Amino acid sequence: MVKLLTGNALLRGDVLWWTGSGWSLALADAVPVEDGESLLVREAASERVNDLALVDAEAAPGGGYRPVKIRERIRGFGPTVRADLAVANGDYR
Amino acid sequence: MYRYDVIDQGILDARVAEFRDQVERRLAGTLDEEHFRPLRLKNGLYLQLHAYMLRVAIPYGTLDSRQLRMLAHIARKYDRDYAHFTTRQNIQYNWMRLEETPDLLADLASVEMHAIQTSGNCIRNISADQYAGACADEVDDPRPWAELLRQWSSFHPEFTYLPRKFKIAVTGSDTDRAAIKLHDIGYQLVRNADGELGFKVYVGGGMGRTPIVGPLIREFLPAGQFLSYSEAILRVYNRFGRRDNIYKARIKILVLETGAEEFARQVEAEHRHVLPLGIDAPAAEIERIKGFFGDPGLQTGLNDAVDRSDPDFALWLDRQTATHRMPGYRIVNISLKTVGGIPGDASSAQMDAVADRTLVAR
Repeated sequence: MVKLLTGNALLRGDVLWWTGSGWSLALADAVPVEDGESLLVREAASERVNDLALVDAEAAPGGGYRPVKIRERIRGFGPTVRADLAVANGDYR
Repeated sequence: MYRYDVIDQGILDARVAEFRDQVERRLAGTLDEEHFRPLRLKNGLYLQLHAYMLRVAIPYGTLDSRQLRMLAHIARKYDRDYAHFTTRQNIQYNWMRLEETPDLLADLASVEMHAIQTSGNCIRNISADQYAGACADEVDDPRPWAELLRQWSSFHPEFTYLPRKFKIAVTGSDTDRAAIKLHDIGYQLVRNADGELGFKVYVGGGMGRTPIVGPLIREFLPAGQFLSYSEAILRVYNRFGRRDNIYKARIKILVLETGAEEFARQVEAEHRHVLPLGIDAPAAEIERIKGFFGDPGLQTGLNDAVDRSDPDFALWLDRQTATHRMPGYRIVNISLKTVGGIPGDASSAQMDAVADRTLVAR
């Protein structure tokens, strides 16, 4: 079981995924983290991303990774209703 | 409609300025999230799965057109052009930007609305029968009494950190449209055998993971003791409600575990201490508040005869309207349950359309 680092952006609350070098709105960009606890502590100290958490993930059928728990999958894929409101993929600044 | 006085407006404006400063400090990095979170929650701003969500109170579910237009404006300007009306007469905006929230709250304050006490373990928005003031079957208009509760519970220092959130509903009708028995306190306006106005008091109802129909703890509470009795209930809950387990912290669990009879005895005992404190509103103040909810200028002398020759109109009349207290008028329900849509959601255009067609919207 691998771990993904996720959180919510300070400015808009958008769901963010750690890409290895920064944050992305796209779950497809997420990469498994090693030594996640120290990374979490470091990113938490910056105070730019809220509710940081390491979540369990597995390989996704189409490549990349997806969270194991349904709550985190919903965070990753967007609302289960009004799919048009899902955040567009793209780099987070 | 109740209107704020200069003191009400001053409190609200100061609160917006205070939150603006808190947001600026959070964005500047001089206030961390641990310290900012309780401050934003005090202003109704949650961080949910996908974004910030702001919950705005609609006291006892009453809006005027000016306020509804502002809610539409906020949906357009600050959100994704829609908002969600909740079952407890709040409205929620689901896609907020943190830095814009102070401006949004300032816009809300300009029409005497706010998001204070829509989060946290305090007394939440007071809800009421959605037909209040218009229906033919009520003993008395519940809105002035709900307004009295709103004023009493706003910033009440003793009840800011209750064991859990606390919800109160008021109705003036035997038909429980306000779901009072599913609230922490449910008040039903009644008259006793002598014709005096008072309340039946239900405590400890609720929904969620432990749904309970609240038991009656007082058959007749004189209207003049409304606030002191509310204070007594809250004091007993604040003292004995559980704080060790969030799932056992609502008053419904306390009433269930204590027993309704014993709980009522404790409230009566506490009420004997509270009553002499003189916190109940004088009759003149109740009359002053009632003055804000007078007749909105309805025509008299009309009759209820309606041309039912159009079957679609007749169907709509039967299904979507209710009897009004004034002959010649009907109460109109506007459903927010569209086929395939999200129940409760309304677009800014829909809100504007309702505001344009009504003097008062509920």
